[in-house]
Amino acid sequence: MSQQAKNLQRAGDIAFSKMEKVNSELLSLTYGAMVSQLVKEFEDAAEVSRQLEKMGYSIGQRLIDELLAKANVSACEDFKDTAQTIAKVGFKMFMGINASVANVNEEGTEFSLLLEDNPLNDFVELPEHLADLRYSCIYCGVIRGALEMVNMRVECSFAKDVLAGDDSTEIKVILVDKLEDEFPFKDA
Amino acid sequence: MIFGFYLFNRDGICLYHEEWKRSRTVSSREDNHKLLFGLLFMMKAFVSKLSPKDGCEFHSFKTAAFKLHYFDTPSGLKFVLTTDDKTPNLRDCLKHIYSSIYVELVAKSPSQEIGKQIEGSHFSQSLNKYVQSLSYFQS
Repeated sequence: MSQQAKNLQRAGDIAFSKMEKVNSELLSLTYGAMVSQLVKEFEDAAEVSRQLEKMGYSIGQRLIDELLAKANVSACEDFKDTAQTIAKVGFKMFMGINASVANVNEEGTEFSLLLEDNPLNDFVELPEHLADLRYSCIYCGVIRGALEMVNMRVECSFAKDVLAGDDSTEIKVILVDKLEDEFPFKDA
Repeated sequence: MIFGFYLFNRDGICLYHEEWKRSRTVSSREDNHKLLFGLLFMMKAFVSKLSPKDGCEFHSFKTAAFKLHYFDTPSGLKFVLTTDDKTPNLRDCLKHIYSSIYVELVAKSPSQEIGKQIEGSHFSQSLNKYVQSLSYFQS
């Protein structure tokens, strides 16, 4: 692991130790109850996934400030830095998940996040008719919302999910656009 | 002596403004906000272009009558304190306002819409309590 990744890992561990903790079973069961409710309302797996992503987006827009304020990370130089920060600091600090970055493309505009474990998945089994449901799609929304607040527009989706029978959990993040800070008023 | 506090977001909206001491009356608060935001935006751009090193940020400026302290976040929030010219740099205070007051009471508040002015008294009370507890508040 590069020195920078090690530093971020340390920052993530420190931030995690300072955060208020909640019982992980409580979180898993509450999240599961919420997804069940969404399934009852929308019935379609793709629509539920969309709703979860939307919720995640609202969360991400606020979460970014907590990450910036509490984790003591410096500004990211490029998208690879961003990837490492999300994996080592973000996931660790908020969910206690150990994640790593993989499959960075040549231009540095795409990467995958590999999650070692996922507490949201505890006690969960997807029934046949919901095999297409992206259960933890909320993470995709959180990443999209948070990055949009720091001027990056991304597309985020699950490439592999243990709940769907794959051997690991992988989230793919693609950089669509870097937004520039524009002066918002028309005349001076 | 601390005169006032402003908080702007990325789109130039003044999310919060508090004055503890002001001797002159201002024409229009809205115009005042726009002017201040414009100044901060330009200063930031100007400082990064003129700086001999990469990634230098604007921290404060001083005039004969007052000093303006500035702190901004990558998420576009701009925290400003105006004080008399003898007060030392309050950047750490601004950081504290961000991490312990803004994040806890605004970012985490479900009733607070993003991009709109801060409503409710929690933020105001906490901010006042903190600022008034600083030794620089009355000097």
